[in-house]
Amino acid sequence: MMLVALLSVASVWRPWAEVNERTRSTLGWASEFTRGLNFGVDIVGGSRILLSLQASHLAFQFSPSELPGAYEEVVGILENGLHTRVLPLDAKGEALKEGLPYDPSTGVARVEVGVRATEGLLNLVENLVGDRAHLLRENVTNEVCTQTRNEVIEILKNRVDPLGTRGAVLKALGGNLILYEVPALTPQEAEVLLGKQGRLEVWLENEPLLYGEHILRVDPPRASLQERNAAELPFRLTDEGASRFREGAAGKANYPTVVYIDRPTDAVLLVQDELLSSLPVLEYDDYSHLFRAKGFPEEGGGYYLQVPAAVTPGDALSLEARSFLEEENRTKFRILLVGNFSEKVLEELPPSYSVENVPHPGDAETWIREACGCKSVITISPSLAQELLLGKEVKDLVITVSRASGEEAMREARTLRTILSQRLPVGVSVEGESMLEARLGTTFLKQLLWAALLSFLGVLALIFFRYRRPIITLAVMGTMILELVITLGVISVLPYSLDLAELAGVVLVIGTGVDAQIIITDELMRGGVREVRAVGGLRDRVRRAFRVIWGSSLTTLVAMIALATLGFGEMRGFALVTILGVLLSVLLTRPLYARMVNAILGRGEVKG
Amino acid sequence: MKLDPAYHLYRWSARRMLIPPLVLALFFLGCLLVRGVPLSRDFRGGTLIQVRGMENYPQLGEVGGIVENLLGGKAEVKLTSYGGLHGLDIETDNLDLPQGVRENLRLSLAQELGVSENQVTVYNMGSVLTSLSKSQARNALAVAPILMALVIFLNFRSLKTSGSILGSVWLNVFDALGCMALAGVNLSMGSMAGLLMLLGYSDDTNTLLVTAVEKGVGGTPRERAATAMRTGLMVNGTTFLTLLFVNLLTTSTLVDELTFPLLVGMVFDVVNTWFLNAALALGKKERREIPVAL
Repeated sequence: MMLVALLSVASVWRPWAEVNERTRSTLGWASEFTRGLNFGVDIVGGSRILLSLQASHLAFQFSPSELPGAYEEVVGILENGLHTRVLPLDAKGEALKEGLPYDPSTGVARVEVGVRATEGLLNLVENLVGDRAHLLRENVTNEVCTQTRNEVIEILKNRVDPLGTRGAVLKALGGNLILYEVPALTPQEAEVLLGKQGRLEVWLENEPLLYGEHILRVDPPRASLQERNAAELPFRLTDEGASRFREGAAGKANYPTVVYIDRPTDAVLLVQDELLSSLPVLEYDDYSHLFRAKGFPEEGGGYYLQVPAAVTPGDALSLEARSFLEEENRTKFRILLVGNFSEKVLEELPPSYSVENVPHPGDAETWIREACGCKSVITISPSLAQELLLGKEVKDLVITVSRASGEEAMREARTLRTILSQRLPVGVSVEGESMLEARLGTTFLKQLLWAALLSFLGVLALIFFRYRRPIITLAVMGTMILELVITLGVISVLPYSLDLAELAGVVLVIGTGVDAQIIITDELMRGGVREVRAVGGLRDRVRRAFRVIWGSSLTTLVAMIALATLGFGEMRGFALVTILGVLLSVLLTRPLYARMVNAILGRGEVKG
Repeated sequence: MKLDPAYHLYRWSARRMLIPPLVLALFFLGCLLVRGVPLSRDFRGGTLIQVRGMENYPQLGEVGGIVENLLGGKAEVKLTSYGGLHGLDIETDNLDLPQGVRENLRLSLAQELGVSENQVTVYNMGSVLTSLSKSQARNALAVAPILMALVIFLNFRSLKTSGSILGSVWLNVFDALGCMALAGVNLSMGSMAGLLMLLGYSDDTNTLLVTAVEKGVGGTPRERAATAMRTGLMVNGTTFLTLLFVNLLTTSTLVDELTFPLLVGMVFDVVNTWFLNAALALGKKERREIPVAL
């Protein structure tokens, strides 16, 4: 037990580890001795990021006589034209649960699309829809329905804090905003935790065929048997997904299906034209401003990468590129740079765009594919095309990931699996970020230390006055300290973030852990040594005391498991700390204390 | 004269012992019906006011006071910084402020803090519970009592005994909720955690009592109950002391909300365990022992 205690001290102190700068600036010298502990937002501060969900609510006026045909047609046009999920809404702007997706008397229908509403977008929507419906511009809002917002919050929560121990909080802020708060990290570090969006699209014949919502599950990746240095990521489609796939791919032997993850729908590529000569498969189509795979669909080629691109020399922005970028600025907000461009080119870019460099992965073709979010191209085998034609529903598909080495391919496939398993229904962008100063910091720690010290003295006095035996008092208080040290030690090796609730939890678990010691002591000392011998002896009494202790500990455990399972907020950490404390005390320190008191009574130190 | 806390266990009939806990429960039922337990921001959301781009920042307590005066209710102020400038994030319990009030709040706060009104933004803040979390919470809260009942039943293998323990334990939670209604303490994630912890603490003393009365050896059941009560009071006393110090010495709303139901629950536990459950356990034991005595 002493060894466990020593290891716990070493794990909390960790003199060999670096002190977190943020913790040092807030806690000062105390941070030197608590390097193994992670503190929460209220103690050491953290980051607050305002996230904006890229979605908007559109309202259309249909002619009631043309419903439902016109409505279905418009939904299809929006899905294909905006390449986004279209969610039908009710009159209150919430996801439609039942009933018709439009008001049959007025002909008004509301939908949510995964694109931010801008003047450019609204013009595009009006062009796409034509005279099938009238877009009610006055009813267009940049917001998301509760269902979408909750989906995003749940997914992000699973990404940034899957165990609920990091102390991250995500809250809806009305409209399309979400507040994201995480302790002890800079905004940049907090953003990394959010990870990629994970928006999946599968395209066939240059039209979207499947979206992320059509994936039921993603299985673990495996090394490819067909291709060297490649990994396969199997995934299963939902019923709707399988039926869409059958309708789209039946009889299309050798046709390519292009898999995108996080295709940058709000961006234009700017590609250095010197790269074009080194592309084995892709070629630039300057009519459509898209990159196209050489060949015909029947031979696995002929598909377009669905991100508009402009091509220009690396040292000067061509007139064509400039005019294309200006034209696209209606619906696009970012320029992704593929190539090495001079300062002059960057200065000439339209200022309304934000500009980002796409990291160079090795060769020019992969560079362009990566920039477009194109993860793999799967060709439909002749046998599969035939089966689909005969009406068979195929639910299991495979994404093949090829890289320079098998290991790299597997690593990428694993990342893809995580992203696909936690994919977001709409895009998320950072609206604003700030450092959150420690609200209570050392003040709270000092207060808690005083509370712990006074509790310790109070409990010590109560125990002493009750038993009037210094050695018993020493054993009870010693066990308390041991419990505190071991609990903190175990917390330091787990990914726990100690905030107000968790710290209070530690003090409460330790402070109330003394209850069990009192029950054991009272049971053992009741009636004195003579009665102990007469009624079953010490062992039976210890057993009886443990029956009470186990009963209450199990009840606490069940209650805390319920609290931890509630799955939200800072109380999950509190529940986990309490569960840990209860388990440690019941399994380690209570038996130790029982042995100590047993030994004391056995020696006849305590008289009845 | 020496005061014996277990006096009633020797002198009172089982029926008489039932009176104090039932009176207490009726009183708190009244409190719950009349006042209800207020829900915190955790459960119903609130308002977030962000002030950005300040070169200097004022006393956070003063800002809290200004907002509380403007809106009523509690305001929690957090200091933020980015790019060398300061900001304030103020969270209040007010829900769905009308547009006029929001505008007024922006203007007044900008004036008080000496910043431009464009630097103040007011958001409606949702609860930390998404609909999925709510359904998870419902499931967890439905399953927890069943599991607890199972744990207690497995310990005693008697429906009556387990029922009386569960009754006493849940009555503690009920009384604590009533007391929260009376004192105007919010039902928040913190107080909910406190209420759940109370279940475990209460089970401690109730199991102690029932084990002593039903399985104890030596003395009459009432004497054994009295001995167990002394242990139980000691157990409650040490817990109460720790909670009291944490509650009084720390200045955190969350910790206050966590410890309040536990503190009052410890007091109700004395009444519900050593009067209500003692009456039930002793009544059962004495009824069983009467024919033997005759």
